[in-house]
Amino acid sequence: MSDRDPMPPLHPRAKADVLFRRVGEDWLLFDPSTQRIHVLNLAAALVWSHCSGELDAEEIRTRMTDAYGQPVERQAVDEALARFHAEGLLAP
Amino acid sequence: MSGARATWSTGGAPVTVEVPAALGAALAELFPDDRVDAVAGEPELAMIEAGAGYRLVELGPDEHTRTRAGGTPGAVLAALELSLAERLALSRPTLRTLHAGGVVGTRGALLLPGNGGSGKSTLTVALARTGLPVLGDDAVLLDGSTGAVHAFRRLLKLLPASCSALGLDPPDGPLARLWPDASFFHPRQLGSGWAEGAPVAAVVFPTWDPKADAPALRPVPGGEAMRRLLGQLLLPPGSGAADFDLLARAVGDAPTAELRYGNAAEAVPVLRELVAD
Repeated sequence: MSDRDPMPPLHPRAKADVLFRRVGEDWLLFDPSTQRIHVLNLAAALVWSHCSGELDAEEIRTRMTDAYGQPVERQAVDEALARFHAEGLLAP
Repeated sequence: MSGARATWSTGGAPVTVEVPAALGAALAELFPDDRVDAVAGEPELAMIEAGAGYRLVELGPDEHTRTRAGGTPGAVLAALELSLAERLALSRPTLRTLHAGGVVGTRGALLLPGNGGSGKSTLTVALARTGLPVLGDDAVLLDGSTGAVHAFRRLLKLLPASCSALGLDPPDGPLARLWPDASFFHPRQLGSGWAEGAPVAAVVFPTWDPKADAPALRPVPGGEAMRRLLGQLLLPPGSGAADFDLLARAVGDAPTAELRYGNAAEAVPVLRELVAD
């Protein structure tokens, strides 16, 4: 059983050694600690690009809405953050 | 240890190999374009006679040696190819050896990564016969600092069935006599030549299947393509992150696809269209 907090950090920050690259149409994360490749959809890629440790989920949603030019569901942000957290891609 | 010394220089890195006289001509034939006459320093690798066959040993400091392979001349030459590719790649931290065939068209390099038997060599030779310059049929060098792919200039190697399928007559020579279960071709003999370094324009994972329908490309998403490419990185063993970064930069926006084919001649136009105008 993992002792990781079940909830993502309030101000999520990407682990520094996780690589974020685009290959073809896919946005990819590579986690050197697990050697795993994670494929992101565009929304998740945008969430990841805002995981600087300075923004909370609502602020990320607002930034994404500005970037998209149309409303972004809060649920999409929360789901992406939950996945990043569950996969150990965020700094503690 | 005795024998002739030969020095190769691919990608700017000299590698000196000591070989018994009986293998010298075959080895020179295998890498005809990277041999330099001047011997630079002590040998790093040596092929030595061992019973009825040979051994390939790495020569370290203080007379330390490590056997890399042993057996028939063909088996030892195959191990030597890998050792040369490894040492050439080790000479520059940004260089990696990818298990792939490849040619270059007007739009850049077409990489054909795959395991043995997937058809890399057959397709590379078939494409070379249409005049496309060759990067290699089993290994190519990826330079992470520029994203360019460079040729690994070992003669192209075909098994008899592929020779027959392509209607090629195996050339004779020291190599053919020493390694009778394979046939070797210089790109020049196929109407082509070695390619200059080029950026990646397309990546196709081939699968040879004699029961396949007409060859058609099926897109492979970027994430899956990267997983497959990481599995085809040969040497040197780098960090996973550095390898991923290098491959991601090299592939970038290039289309990635797989091709199941049974007839190389039918696959050639499909592949050419990806990189040649």
